[in-house]
Amino acid sequence: MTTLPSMPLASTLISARTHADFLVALLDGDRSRCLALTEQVLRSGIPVLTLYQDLYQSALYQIGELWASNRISVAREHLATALVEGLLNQVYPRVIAPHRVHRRIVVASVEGELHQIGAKMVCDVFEMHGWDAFYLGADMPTCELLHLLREQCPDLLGLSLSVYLHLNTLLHMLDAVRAEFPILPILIGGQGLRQVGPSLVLGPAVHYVADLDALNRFVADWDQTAVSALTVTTLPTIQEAGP
Amino acid sequence: MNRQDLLETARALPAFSAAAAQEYADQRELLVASLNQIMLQRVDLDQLVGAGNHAMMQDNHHNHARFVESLLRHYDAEVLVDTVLWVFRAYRAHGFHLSYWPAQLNAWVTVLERQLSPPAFAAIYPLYHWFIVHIPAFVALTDASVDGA
Repeated sequence: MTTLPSMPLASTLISARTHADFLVALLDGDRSRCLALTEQVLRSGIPVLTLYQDLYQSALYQIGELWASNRISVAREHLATALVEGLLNQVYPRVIAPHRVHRRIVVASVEGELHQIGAKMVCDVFEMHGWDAFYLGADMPTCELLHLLREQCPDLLGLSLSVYLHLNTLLHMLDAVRAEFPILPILIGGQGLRQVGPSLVLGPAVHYVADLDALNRFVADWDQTAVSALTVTTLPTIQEAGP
Repeated sequence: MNRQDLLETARALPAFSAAAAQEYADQRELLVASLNQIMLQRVDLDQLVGAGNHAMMQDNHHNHARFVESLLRHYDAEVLVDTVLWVFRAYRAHGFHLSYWPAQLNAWVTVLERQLSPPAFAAIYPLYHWFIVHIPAFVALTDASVDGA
């Protein structure tokens, strides 16, 4: 049994006991226990987004701090990350919205960026809103991303940056995408942009979201805007059809 | 000196030219290779980084160069200060000795002066000077977390 570290807990909806149990289960590599705790949280009516942000993300940040302070090994950190990724796959059937809005997003982690769980969570938020999300995972080569964008013609591109040191690569990717797709809206986010994200929103087609709650609002607003635009564009047709 | 004082000094650094940033980015891999060559030749390396930490040291050099490359293009004083403090905390916790930091940073200056053009070196040197002169502050500000680890 791993000794429980004393660290601040983020959520008010998820109990401190659940946080602590989940963290210990992750550190012990106890997949069944992690899944049982996930089921327990969801059965209590807590939204998936809260599960992601206040349990999974919070626990992974704590795990990162435990590695930084040399209290756990890189191997144990990877074990925990892999467990959470597996849990996301198991939660996914509850995430996908039955109604589809026929919009597409392509989401990738920046080239060189090895973290991908945040990008996967972003995809799930879009799926909750009925979008079709194409999740490309970590370390996406820019040329291959451009190739996929040509094939899929998405409504939106999402780029995730977990570690600041890849910022210059993100800037190069933005330049490359913009050169070929001048009006494609691009969403950027991730822990690596915590301090500089807003300053990168240099044009109307680049959006920054700070966390999953902000992302959820962004998608809802986007859907609302799209519905309004649809209403406006169909009005003339109705008028033309009149006497 | 506390974090706020460090931030003030970081905010006072001169702006880095786009040409210097591009040259650093173009040379990054060569710079890292040269730095690793210098550091790996040191007979006191185990004392500097701790036995078994050579690969972690080289990771740090690689990450350092990517970090500086990003910083030169899109400078942010808070990112600089908070990242350096995190690096000091994490690497000290993993057994890196205090003497590693001046050894590494002085080697960086040697490599940069040798491989960059004089204007690019002149533009970037203030950042490395800032790293070097504030080592005592980085150590003092991370002492508590390392001692408590």
